[in-house]
Amino acid sequence: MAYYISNGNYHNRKDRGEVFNEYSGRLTEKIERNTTSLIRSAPQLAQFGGKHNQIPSRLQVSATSGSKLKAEWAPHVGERGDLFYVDVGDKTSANYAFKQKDKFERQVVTKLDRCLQNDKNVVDSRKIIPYNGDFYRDESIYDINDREGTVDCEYVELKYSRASQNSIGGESLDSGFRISRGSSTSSSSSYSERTSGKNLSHGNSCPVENVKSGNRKTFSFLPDFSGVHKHDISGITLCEKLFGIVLCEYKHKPPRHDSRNSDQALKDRKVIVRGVIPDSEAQRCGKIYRGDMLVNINDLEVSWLNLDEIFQTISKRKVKLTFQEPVLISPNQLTPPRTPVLMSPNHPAFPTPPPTPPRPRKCPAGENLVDLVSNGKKQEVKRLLEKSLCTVMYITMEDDITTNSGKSDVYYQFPTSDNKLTEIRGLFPTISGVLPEITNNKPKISSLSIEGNLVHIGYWNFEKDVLVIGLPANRVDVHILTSLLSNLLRLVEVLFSSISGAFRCPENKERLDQLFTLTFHRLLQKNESSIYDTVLHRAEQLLLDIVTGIRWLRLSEDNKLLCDEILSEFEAADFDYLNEDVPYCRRKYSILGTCLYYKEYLICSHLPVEDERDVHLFLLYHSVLSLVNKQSLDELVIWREIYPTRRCHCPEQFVLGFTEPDGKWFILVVGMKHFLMVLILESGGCAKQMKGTPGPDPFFVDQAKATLLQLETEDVEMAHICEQRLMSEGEGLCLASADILQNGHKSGREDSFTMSPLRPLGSPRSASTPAKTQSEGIFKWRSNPQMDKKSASTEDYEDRRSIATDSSTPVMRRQGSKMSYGSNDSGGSGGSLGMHKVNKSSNKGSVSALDLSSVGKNISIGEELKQVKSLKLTKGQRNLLFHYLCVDQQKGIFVAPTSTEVNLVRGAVHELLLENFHKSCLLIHKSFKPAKDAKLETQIENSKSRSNEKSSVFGGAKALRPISEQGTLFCCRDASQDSKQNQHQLQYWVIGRLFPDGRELYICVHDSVPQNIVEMAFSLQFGL
Amino acid sequence: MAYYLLCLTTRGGVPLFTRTEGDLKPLPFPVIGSLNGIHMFASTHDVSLLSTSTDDSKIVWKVFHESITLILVSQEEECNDCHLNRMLETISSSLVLLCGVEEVQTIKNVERFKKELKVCYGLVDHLLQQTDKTMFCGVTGAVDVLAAPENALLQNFLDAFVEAADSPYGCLFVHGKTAVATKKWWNLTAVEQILLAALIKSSAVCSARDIPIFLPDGSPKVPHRLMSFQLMKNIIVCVICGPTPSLATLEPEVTRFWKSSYDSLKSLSQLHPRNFPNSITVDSNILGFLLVNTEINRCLSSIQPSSDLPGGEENLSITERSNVLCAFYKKTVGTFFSTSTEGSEKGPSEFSHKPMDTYITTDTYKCYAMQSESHQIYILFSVNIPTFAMRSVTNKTFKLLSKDKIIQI
Repeated sequence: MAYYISNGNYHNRKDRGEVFNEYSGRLTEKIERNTTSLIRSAPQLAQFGGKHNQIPSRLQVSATSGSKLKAEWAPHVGERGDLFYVDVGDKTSANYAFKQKDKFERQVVTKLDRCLQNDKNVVDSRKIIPYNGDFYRDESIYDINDREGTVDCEYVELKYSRASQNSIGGESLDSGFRISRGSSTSSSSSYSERTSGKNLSHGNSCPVENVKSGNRKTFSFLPDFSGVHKHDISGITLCEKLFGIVLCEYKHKPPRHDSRNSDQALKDRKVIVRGVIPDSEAQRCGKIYRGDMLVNINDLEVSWLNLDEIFQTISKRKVKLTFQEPVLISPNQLTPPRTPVLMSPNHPAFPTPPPTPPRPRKCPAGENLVDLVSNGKKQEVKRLLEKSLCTVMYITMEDDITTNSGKSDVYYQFPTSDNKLTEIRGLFPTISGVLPEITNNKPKISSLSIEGNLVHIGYWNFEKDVLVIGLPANRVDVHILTSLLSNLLRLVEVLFSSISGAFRCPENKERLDQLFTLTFHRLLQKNESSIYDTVLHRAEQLLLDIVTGIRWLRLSEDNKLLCDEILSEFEAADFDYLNEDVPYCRRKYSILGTCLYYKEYLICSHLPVEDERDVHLFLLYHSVLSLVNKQSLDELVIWREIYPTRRCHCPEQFVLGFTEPDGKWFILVVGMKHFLMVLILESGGCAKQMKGTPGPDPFFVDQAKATLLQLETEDVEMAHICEQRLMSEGEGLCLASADILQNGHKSGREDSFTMSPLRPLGSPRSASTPAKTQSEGIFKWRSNPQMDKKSASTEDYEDRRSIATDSSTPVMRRQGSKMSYGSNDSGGSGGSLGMHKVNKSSNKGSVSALDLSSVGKNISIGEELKQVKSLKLTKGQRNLLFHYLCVDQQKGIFVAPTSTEVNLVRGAVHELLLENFHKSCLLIHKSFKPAKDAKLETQIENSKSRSNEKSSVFGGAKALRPISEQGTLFCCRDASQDSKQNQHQLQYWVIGRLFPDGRELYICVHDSVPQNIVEMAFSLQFGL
Repeated sequence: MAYYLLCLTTRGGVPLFTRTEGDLKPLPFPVIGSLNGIHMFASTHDVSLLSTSTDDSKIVWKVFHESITLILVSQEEECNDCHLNRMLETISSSLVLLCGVEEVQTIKNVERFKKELKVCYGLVDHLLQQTDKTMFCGVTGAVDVLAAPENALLQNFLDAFVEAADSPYGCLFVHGKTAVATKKWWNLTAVEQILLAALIKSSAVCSARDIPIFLPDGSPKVPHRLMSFQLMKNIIVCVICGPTPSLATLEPEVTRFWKSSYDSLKSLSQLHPRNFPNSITVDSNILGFLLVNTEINRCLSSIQPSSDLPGGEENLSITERSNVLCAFYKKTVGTFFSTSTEGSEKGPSEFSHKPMDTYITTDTYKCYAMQSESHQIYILFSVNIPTFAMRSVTNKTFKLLSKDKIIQI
C-alpha cells in the first residue's frame, strides 16, 4: 500500500507523463469497446430505468468537490456521521436480473469524475450536465491532449471506464426520450429492432422521458454564410460558422472490427454545445449555454452520423435548432414530479406492457433494511419477535437503582414488549452474582423451561452489569447461542468501542434495535426450504454462522489476479484527491484495506484476517449479505466509525520499532448490484487526524463505486465470471447424488431415475432439457448448457475457451497409498474408513449412469476456465463424495459447493443427507473447539500463574483429549422396501477433521469410499 | 470428577444435606440459599430453571416428589443435561431406597428427616464418587455384569440358596458386578439393581448384614430386608426377603450351600478385571470396551481385555481408560445414540437418518462406537490402530461378544 504525500505524488505523475500519449490511444479504444458493450445492454437499462422513477436523478452527476451537490444517500447521514443507505431499486428489475444470470446487466449509475470537474479547462462549474456521458468522454480526450501528459495514465484509465459508464445512463435515457416521442427516425427504429430482438418489453423505457433532462428550447437562427468556405464539410465547423455555436468535437477513431457497433456508438453519441462564439447570434440570444444538447435541426434528429449531412443541406432560410437543457440537481429535488408517460400506441416494435403501478417511494435509510430482508413484512417480523421467547436485556445491579420499582434496572431491552423473560429478569443478575462464589466463573448459558418451551439464555458479565440474550431452544442450540453471543459481542465492540457503553447509552438504541431485529429475524424466521435456489438449509445457515470464516468463491487465477489488481489500484489511493482550493493538504483517510464480495461470497480480500472477520460479522448480522445475495441493489452505502478488534480490543503485540498509528477507523461499504465493496479507512497515522464524527466522504464513495463499475466493464466482467462460476457445474469438486446411489441398488426400471435427481429443481435450464433416453439424457444435458453459453458468448470467450479445451483431462487421479492394515497411518495422523471393501456390487444399475455423467462433466470442464479442472475427490470408478466443507481459520474463509453444484445432485434423500451433514458438522465443530481452546488455555494458564490470579475451582484435565477427527455413519433405509433387504440401504459417513494448522475439513462420503480423509484433504488442498 | 450435591426442601428451602466430592471447599450457607433461591424465584413465575453452565462447570436443578430439590454442581460443563439428570434421579432413588417414599414426600419434621437422611450419605457419596473404575453403571444406567463360564453352574447354587432363604430375589456380586441372579432379581428395575449393588459396595466390609430397604420402583412404601453374606473376598451373595428368615437363621445355611462352589467362585474372582471369558480373544489394539444392552439395561465392560498389560506410553492407565470410555459414552449418547436414559433421545431424533457408527481420534487414543437394534458397543483403541480398521474390528468384536453363549446380555 502506498501512501503518497500529495505533492510528491504530483511529481511522480509528471515523470510518468511521457508514457501517457502511448496509453491514450489504447485507452480510447478501450472506451470504444466499453461503449459498444454498454449499448448492447442499453435495452435492459432502459427497462431498468423505466420502472424506476428515480433513475434520472441517479443519472445526475454530483458537482465539483462533492459538497455543492450531494449524493442520494447524503440526506440519510445520521447525526454521528453514520450512514446506512440501501436502495434496492425495483423488485421486478431484481427478478429480471436474477433470470438473466448468464448475461450480466450493467448498472445505471453515473458519477461525475471529480478530476474532470476540477479541470477548469473543460467544465464550466456553473452547469452540470446530467444526461450525457459522451460529453465527458469527448472532453476528456480533448482535455488530455491539452494537458500534455500531466495526467497519470492509470488514472486516466479509471476515469475512462467511469466516463463510459456515464454514457450508459445517457444512452438509455436518450433512447427513452426518443421513443416517447414516437418519432420514426431511422436511428430510433433501428434501435427498436435491436431491442425487440432481445424480447424485452420496451415500453418500460418510456417513463424515463425527458422530464428530468430539462427543458427543450427551440431557436430560429438565420445562418450566417459569411465565413463559410466551400471545403467546410464538417458539421462542427459548419455549425460554428453558421450559428456561432461550438460543438464538442468527437474524434473519429478507426472503425473496429464490428463496425455495426461503432456505428451504433456514433449514432448514440450526443451532440453537445461546448460554447458560443462571442458576438454571434447564438450568444446574443443569451439562452444557449455550454452543455446544452443539440437535439433537432429543423425537426430532424441530430446524431453524429448525420450531423455533417444535415449541416451541409442547410440553406439560407431560417433554421430551427432545438436544444435540450441539462438539469441541475440539488438535494431537495430528489423526488421530482412524475409526468404522464407518452406512449406511441401505433409503434409496432414496442408491445405495451401492463401498466406498472407507481412504486411508493421508499425511505432508503437503514430502517427499511428489515423490510427488505423480510420481503416487506416488517410487521410480521415484529409479531414473530413478540411471539417468540427471545430477548436481549442489559441489566444492572447497581445498588441505587435496585431500590426503585419499575424497569429502571434495565438499560436496554429488545424487543420492547415484555414477555416472560423480562418478568423474571431479576434471575439473571442473581445467577451472575452467585455463580462466581461457587466456581469462580461467570455463567455462560442457562436453560429454562417456560410453559414447556425450552429457552436458552446466554450471559455476558461486566462488573455489576449483565447482558442477557435469550432464544428458544428449538431454533437456537446451546453451542450456537454461545458462538452467536461471542460474535455479537465482538460486533458490538467493533461498532461501539465498548459493550457496556453501547448498551448503557440510550443514543445507541436505534442501532442496536436494528442489529437485533435483523439477527433475530435471521435466526427465527420460518424455514423456506421450498425454494432450493436461494434459501440455505437452516442447519447449513447456522453452521456457516458459527464456523469462523467467510464463504469464499474460488475463481481462476487470472480472474482472481484481476480482482486483486483492481482493488490494489484503488487501495493505492493514487487518484487525484488534491483539492485545488487547499493545495498540499493531507489526505483525509488512508485506506487500510478493501475486500470484495459477490453475493455472499468473498471474492478477494486485502484485509488482515481479524479486520476481515469484523467486517464479515458486520455484514452478516445486519443481513446485508443475505440481502445482496437475494436481490440486486441499486445502491448501498454504509458508513460507520468502527473500533477494529485488531487495534482496539486485542492486547497489543509489541513489535520493536513499529507501532500501529493511533487514529480513527471507519468502515465504508458500497454496494451495487450483487457486489459489495468494503473499505476500512484510517484517519490519523498517515492521513489527517479527523475531529468529531465525520460523515461518509463522498469522494471515497464515488471512487468505490467507480471501482465496482470498473469490475463490470467489458474487459473485466467480473460479475459475469462470478455468475458463471456459481452457475457452472463442473468447476468445483464433483458431487454424487445420494438418490442415485440409493436408487442404484434398486431395480433401475424406472425411466426417470437417472434423470430426476440430476435435474436441478429450481434451475431455469431444466425446462429446456429434452427428454432423452436414460444414458443419453445425462450426457446431453450436461453438455447442453455449455453449448448454449458458447453460442451466446462473445468472441473473446470463444478464444478463451478454445485454449481451455486443450487441457480437458481431469487431474487429481492421485493413486493413494495401498490399503494395507497399518501402513498409511502412522502416529495417529491417519484416518480412513473401511479396509473392508464392502462387497456391494449389487448396484450395477447405477454404474453406467454415473460413468456417463462423469464423462459429461469432464467435457464441460474442459470448456470452462483454464485453471480449475474437474476434481474427483474419491478414488475408484464411481464418485462417492456427497458434500464437503473446508474451513481455513487462518485465512478466515471456507469453501463449500455452490448452490448450483448442489442443485445438480439434489433429490429427496440428498436433502436429508445434507441436513444431517450440517447438523453433524455442528456437533463435530463443537467438539473441535476444546482442542483449539486447549492451546489458548495453556497460554492463559502460563500468564495466570505469573499474575497469580484466582484459578477456576473445577480446573483440571478434561476427560477427553483434543479430538482431531470425528466421524459418524448414517444409515438411510428406504421406507418402501422390506426391512429384510438390508443390503439395499444407503450408508454414508460424515467426517470432520481438524488439522494442526487450524484448518477444518468436513466431508460426506459413501460408506464404501476406499480412502482416508487425510488423503482427501490433501487433494482438496491441492485443488485449492 | 468433582461435585457439589445440595439437597433442600422444595417448600421451605431448608438445606437437608450437602455432599462434596473431590477437592472442593465447602459451600457457605448463603450461597446454598441463593442457589436454591434462584430456582424458587423462577418457579414462582411458572418458569423452571433447568441448568446453567459456566466455563468449567454445570449446575442442574431438579425437584423430586414435589418435596425435595436436588442441585448438582458438576465439573462437566459440556456434558449433555441428560447424564446429569440421570445422576440426580439415581440419587433421589437412593433416598427412597433407604428412607421410603412416604418420608421423602411428606417431610413432617425437617430436623428429624435430616437425621434420617444421614444413613444415605455413604450411598450418595459412592454414587458421586464412582471410585471403582471398572464399573460403568454410574454412567450408563445399566447394570454391570460379569460374564464368566462358571455362571451357569453358580446359578444352581444361587437358586438353591434363595429357596432356602424363602425369597425369590437373590444375587451374586463379584466386585460389585452382577455375576448370577435369580429371574426375579433381573426383573427389578435397573436403578434398583444398581442401587443395591452400590449399597453393598459402599457399606463397610462385613461377613453378613441385614439392611431394611424400600424398592424405589417395586415397593417404595413397604420395607424389605436386604441380607448379604460374604462368600469370599469381593464375592457377596445377597437376598431380599420379608420379615423372615432372620439373619441368624440364614447365616449358618450359607456355608452349607456354598461350600462346594469354592473352586468356581475362585475362578470367578480371578476373572474380575477382564470380566469376560478367557476363551474369547479380542484384537490387541483394544484397550477397553463397553457393551450395553439398551433393552434390558445391562452392560459388560472390560478395560483390561488383554491379559498382559504391556507397558509403554501409548497404553493408557486403567483410570485413564475408564475415564475416556465414560467421556466418550457421554459424548455419544444424547447426540448420536440414545439409550433408555430420559432425555437422551432428543439429540439423535434431530437426524432424519439413523446414526449407526461414530468415532473420534485423538493423539493418544481412538474411540469407536457402533449400535444395533438392542446393543451399543463402545471401544477404546490404542493409537496404533489405523482409523479405517476400527470399523471392522469393532464389528468383529461386537459379533464375537454378542453371539457368545456365556455372555448373556
